[in-house]
Amino acid sequence: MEAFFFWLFGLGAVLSAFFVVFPPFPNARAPIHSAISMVVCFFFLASIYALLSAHLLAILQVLVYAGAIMVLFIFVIMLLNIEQDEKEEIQIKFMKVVGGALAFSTTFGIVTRLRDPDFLAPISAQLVQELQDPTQYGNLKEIGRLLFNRYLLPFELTSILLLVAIIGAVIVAKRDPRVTWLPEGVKQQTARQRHGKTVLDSSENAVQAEAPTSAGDHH
Amino acid sequence: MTIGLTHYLVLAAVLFGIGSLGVMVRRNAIVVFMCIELMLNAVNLTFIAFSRFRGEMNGHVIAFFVMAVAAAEAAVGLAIILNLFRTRKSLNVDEANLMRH
Repeated sequence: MEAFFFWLFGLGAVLSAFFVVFPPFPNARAPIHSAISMVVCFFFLASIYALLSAHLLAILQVLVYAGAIMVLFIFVIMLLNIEQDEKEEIQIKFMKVVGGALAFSTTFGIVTRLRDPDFLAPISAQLVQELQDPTQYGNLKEIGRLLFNRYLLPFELTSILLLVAIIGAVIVAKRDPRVTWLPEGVKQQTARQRHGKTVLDSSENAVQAEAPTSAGDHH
Repeated sequence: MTIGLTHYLVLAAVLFGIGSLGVMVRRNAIVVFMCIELMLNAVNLTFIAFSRFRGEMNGHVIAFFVMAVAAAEAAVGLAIILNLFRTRKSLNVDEANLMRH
């Protein structure tokens, strides 16, 4: 029974993860399709966590990843209407081939290392029985006990991390009035602006020359 | 056929490989970011598989922390992507190379 569900959920997770990287319909909506396959992949992974008797983490996976993080992703994708740079998405370049070979060889190396017989040691039937009992393993009570005893300091540090992340996200995402919205030909414009700024520091005359162009960039 | 620890680890390795493939091959910043989340999930799967097959729950707590870090990373990273798109009107990570020049 476990084998059936493992193959079902495992193959589903791998397939949906593959569709994240290579969306089936490469058009302008491909990022949304990637995000949806990612949600499906997270659901499959949550099922696998449940198969591993990690009940709390299965629920947290659905709530935090599929519920919060992916909603944030989809929100950002819809906020930025991306249309222009989707055509060059699936070009095969030399460095991409190198990257793909590297990823494949890493995976292959890990998988071949796993043939070490120590990993293959089966768990005892008694331990399996014990682990299947949801009152003993992987539930909120047991994890909470660990979290508030042994891992109390990391838990508190996590709260500080989340606070810093909230503040950082607000500050980074806030629109800076000094940064203008650059139209096409961004590279040259930013280079010119940077030159303009350095000149601006050294002499006052250049400021007069550069001022109309930078004022024209305001959106 | 019983499912052992190896099966879960191979599954996690394959998911990690797909994630790293995505980071190296795709150039859309949001998709690259999603692939990073995928790699974090693969690592979570190894933690949970190990903790089950060792009969303890420390791995669950670590996976919990990884989820918290992933949430923080998603918030900050998406804010950075938002700002990147604002200044460059593009999400291609190869074009964000101002620091290289």
